[in-house]
Amino acid sequence: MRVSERLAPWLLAGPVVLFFVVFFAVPVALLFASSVERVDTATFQVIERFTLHNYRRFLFDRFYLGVLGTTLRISVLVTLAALVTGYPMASYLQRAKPRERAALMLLVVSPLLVSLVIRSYGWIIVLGPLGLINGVLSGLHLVSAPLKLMYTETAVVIGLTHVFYPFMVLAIYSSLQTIDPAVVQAAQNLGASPRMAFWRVTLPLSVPGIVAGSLIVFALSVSSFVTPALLGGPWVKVVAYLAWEQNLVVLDWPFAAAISVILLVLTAFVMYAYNRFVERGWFAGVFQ
Amino acid sequence: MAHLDLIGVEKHYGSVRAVDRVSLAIDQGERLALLGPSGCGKTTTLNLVAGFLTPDAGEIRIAGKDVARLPPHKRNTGMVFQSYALFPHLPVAENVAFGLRMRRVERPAIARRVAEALALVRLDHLGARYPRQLSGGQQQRVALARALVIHPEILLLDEPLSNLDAKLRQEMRMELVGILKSVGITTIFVTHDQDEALSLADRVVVMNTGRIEQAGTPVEVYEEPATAFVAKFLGEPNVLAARVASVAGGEIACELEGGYRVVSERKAPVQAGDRVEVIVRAERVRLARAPSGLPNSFPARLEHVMYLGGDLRYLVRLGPHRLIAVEKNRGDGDVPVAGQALHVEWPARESLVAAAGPRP
Repeated sequence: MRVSERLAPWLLAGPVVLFFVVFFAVPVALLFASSVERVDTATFQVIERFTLHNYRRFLFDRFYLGVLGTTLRISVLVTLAALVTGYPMASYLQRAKPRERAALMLLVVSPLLVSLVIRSYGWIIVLGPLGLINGVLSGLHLVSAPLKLMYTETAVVIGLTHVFYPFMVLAIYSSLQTIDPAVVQAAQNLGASPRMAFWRVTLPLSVPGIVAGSLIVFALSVSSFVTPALLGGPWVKVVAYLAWEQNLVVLDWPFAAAISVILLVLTAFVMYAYNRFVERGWFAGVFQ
Repeated sequence: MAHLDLIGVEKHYGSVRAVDRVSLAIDQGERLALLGPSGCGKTTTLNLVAGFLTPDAGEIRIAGKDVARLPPHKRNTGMVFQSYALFPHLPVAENVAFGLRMRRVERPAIARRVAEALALVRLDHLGARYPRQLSGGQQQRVALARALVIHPEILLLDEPLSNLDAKLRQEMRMELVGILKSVGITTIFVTHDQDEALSLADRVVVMNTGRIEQAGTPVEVYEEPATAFVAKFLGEPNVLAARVASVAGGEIACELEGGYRVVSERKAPVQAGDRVEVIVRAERVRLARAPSGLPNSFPARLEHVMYLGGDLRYLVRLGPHRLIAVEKNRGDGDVPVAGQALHVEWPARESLVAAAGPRP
């Protein structure tokens, strides 16, 4: 009994902890170590063991900072778009009848059931110069030349929102599920109109779901690679794409590592700050 | 004019009549209990008054004004929910202030009234706490303060004490009745607990399958049950299957299986030959060593004695019948023992005769 109690944590969590240490913590540590090296890109010889050269190169360069800015902008827009469209859906799912809910739930998660590449090509068909939208618009003589929709940030934002939308909806939906319906009734009983009850009670109580959904969508967007590459083309570069390029095209592994570390640290910071802001801010009571 | 009038109120769910032609008039300051088993329509009735449900037929008048079609936030009722439904994201004082803010009461007045309401429920020192930091009893009192602070026309309590443990329930019952009396507010509360209904209410409405079985003072519904359902729902009834032998001179004589003859002085719409149930409350059944001359007196054998501290419960066998008798444990040592032969007795006015029907 004693022994098994002492073994329990290892048996229950051990395998996963081991897996994460070997396949996540160690590589990340190697990434950090590699990021402070410097290689000669002609000979691929390590010419410096410990230097901040790669970080300086990124952080004092307009092009790289621009890419970082684009990445953050896209991620924030995707998060906002998913939140604004996801909340009403989550809210509706919560009050829908079981059959309708199951059908809608399937619809919501459908982007996750289709391969990333196929989904992106779908958007190319919709957004391309000869695509669905432009076809309809020019067919109706609303535009003289096709609108440039493909290979823009907008296309990337639309594509990413489509993929990550389910995470937002599910996170908000599950937090709405935890709200005692009587609490909303209590607000109405005390004189709150349905709209007021939403702003004063339902919304604050669903903040944990909003936070969770936003963090997931933001983290996934910041590190997304395939969708921006396919829908943004060479014109919309994101940080993940830079890291890939340095790694596999330029073969400057330390610089690629430094880019990854910068992205990692920045994402962690944004998520931490956001979490802190919400938990310490207006809705402190929700997290008590 | 009554303060709250329900006139022929109905609520259907498909073919089920959750509330079936309920009419009630409740006076200003009256405390009314809706009592019944689960599914009897009492909570539906409460939700109809609060406005969470709309009746399919009938009128609901508060102070003469028909509110049946008004949304809950325009009805000015104050409700204490079974789960208390406190706002978990707001401190206690803000929970209590919520209704006042919705009514756009001025800030200084809000502060004063919140303080008064919290003082009324003796929680003035806990205004800064969050609901989850409070005990069940404290949460209950916050919910009460929150409902009372808005000076509602009608106070609605949904199973107010059911989430508290037995000891605390007793204390809160005393406290609640004190608060309600001091405030003098018209109150409807829903409960399935007869002790709660009988001890808190001026008037008890016993409901069953969406209908009102009986409405009356606690003494009336307990001592003079109008229907077999009420007789069997309140107290601890012994129900004996019988056949009416004779009805004469205000006395009904019934024949039980095994040749026992039970006499009742109560009125009942029965005639000789009817199949009936004779209902006798457990605490009205007496055990005696020798017959004392009561009309219902039968030799019996004590099968089992259950010692409950304050009470003693006896399971008595009477031929093919079993009776439960409850007596106060007075501590005088004269407790009969299982297996003992004795007499069970009760006065003729304690046997209620009703046409055979379902048990509640």
